[in-house]
Amino acid sequence: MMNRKELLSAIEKIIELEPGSLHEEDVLFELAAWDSIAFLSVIAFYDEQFQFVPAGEQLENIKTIADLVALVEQRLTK
Amino acid sequence: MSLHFKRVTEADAELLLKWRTDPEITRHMFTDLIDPSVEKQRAWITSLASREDYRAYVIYDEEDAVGFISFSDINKTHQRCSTGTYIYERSARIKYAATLNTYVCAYAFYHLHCNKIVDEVMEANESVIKLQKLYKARLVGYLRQHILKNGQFHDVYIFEHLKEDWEKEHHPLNVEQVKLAFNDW
Repeated sequence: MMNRKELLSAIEKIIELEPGSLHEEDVLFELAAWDSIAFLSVIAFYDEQFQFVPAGEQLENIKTIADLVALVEQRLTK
Repeated sequence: MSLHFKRVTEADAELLLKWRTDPEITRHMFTDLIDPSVEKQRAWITSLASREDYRAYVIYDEEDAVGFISFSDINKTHQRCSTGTYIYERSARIKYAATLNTYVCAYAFYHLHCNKIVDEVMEANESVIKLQKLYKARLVGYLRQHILKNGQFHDVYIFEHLKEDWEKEHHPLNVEQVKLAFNDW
């Protein structure tokens, strides 16, 4: 089971950012590294690691890193 | 519903011409338009009405036209087609990155009744090659010097996605949700 810090580290690795460079309040759209491939890569990781793909409405309304992390938390607490 | 798709009409000619002639879009397409004009674009759209092998849609985010989808080489005999998509604005492109392909595949598999989607991607289009892999499409071929464009040959990757494989995967939308997003389904 991953904690928030580990999940953030995993996301940094997936989108090829330096460790510790992401913060939960970061707005995804403002990150130069955040593009379609980064987004899909994170969702593919969720699918592989946690065996789920978030609902379309959730995915289309993600704004921040915290929103991205919350998707996993919501799933794991169900 | 935020994302939805409307069949292309003659009223879209000017917008489609703007997108179709934008270097960011055309650099990854197999052909460029010859002497492009709104009249030619409109005539092309009119010609689509009689075609069984091709369908095109404008993608809307709420009321804003943000992109284009096509289903080409629709083959009823062998139940397959090819797809092409682009979203013009970066913000919408990212917003719908994780859902757009589900709309495309569900339409092809459950409305066009295709068994397979086959997409060809130019070698230089590295982003789409990566996206195809993330969509879990299967790389089935690599054609050398397959496209001649502006005096240069280009290599092409071929991907396929079978309906039976797609149905085993997790998706962010169900077919009923996708159905509501298309104005002709």
